[in-house]
Amino acid sequence: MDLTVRRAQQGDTAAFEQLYRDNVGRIYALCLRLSGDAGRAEELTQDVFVRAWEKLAGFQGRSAFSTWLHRLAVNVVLGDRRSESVRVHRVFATDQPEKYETPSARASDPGTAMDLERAIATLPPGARTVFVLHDVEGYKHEEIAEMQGSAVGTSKAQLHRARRLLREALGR
Amino acid sequence: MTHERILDLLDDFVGGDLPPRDERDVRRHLMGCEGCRAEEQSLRALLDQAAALSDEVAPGRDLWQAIAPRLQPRDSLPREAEDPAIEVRVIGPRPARPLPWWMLAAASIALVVTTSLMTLQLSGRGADPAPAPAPIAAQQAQPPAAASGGTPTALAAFRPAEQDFEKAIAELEPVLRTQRGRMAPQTAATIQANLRIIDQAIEESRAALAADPNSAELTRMLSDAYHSKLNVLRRAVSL
Repeated sequence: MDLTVRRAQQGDTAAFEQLYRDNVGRIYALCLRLSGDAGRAEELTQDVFVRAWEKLAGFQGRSAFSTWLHRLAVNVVLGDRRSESVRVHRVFATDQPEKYETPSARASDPGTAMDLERAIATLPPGARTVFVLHDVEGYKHEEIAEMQGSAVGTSKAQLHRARRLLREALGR
Repeated sequence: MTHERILDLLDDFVGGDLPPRDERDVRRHLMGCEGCRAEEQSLRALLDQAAALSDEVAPGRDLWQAIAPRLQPRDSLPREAEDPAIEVRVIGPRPARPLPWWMLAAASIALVVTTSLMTLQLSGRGADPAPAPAPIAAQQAQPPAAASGGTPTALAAFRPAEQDFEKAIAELEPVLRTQRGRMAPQTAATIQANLRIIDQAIEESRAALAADPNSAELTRMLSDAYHSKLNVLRRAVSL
């Protein structure tokens, strides 16, 4: 197991901060795309790392830490989604487009990448979740269905809907 | 298949999740249907864009300042077993992010050709004993006498279709050359590398077919390889 992970497991917060620095970009990107809201994504990212700290002692290193953390993040966001129905509906903050500008996106095709990010954020939550997990993160329908406690057919239907809505939003 | 049915299957088709028979049917339909082909191209363009999104996005502020105060001392945390809900899901590696379509096209055609050639060699089965189901392009191009007479080889029957493929490819290749300068260097290099893989598949299929000109299986593989190349070129020039 990685030494930094081992030190963090033993309670070394400096080591855990290093793990945070190494992984925050990926975790925040995931939270941002799944939630469609920059402010909520920051809250979720914090929750993910706090949860990771709490569960780290039980991490046995059967997978890479980054893999474990990524799955934990998906669980945290989906758990948040389940309780979202009792909260006030959050609206995508379209006045913060810079949140979706990343160095690599700017390098390739700024307009296109940002348009897609924005379009993803405007999808209905169910369709957005499946699109991000399947088409951006590379999970299979079976895994998504298991994580969401739904049927594979539901995941496929949501993906079909998401792709259709995105193509409409992008004018294709 | 109807247009509606094809459109229903497109999601699985572009994901490579269709059973071989359905995949072949969809591919054949797409060859002759411009509308459905446009839908497919639009879908693939979206998937390419999604796959190209950055892995990382930096938050607008340093979140560690808010996280650190929430971390309880390790001693005060209950010692819990590894979360089974998480552990079960992390036994395998995190799924790879989706690959752009041209990588999938080249990888799949190379895999199909390689494994099929190996299978044919190992089984010693060259010519199919069953009547050769000629590929759609070959069926369309095949003169009636050849189809019924059985005298011409599968390779000879495929030749008119092959000429159509070659003509279409010859029209697209110069267009790609002129557009390459506008592509990101990595994209252009990836497309080129994968076209080489498909060309190799075409060469290998053709060489095998030359040695065994009656093999319907080899003819189908050659047709699939040409179709893949045409598909890659069409999409590359539309980038």
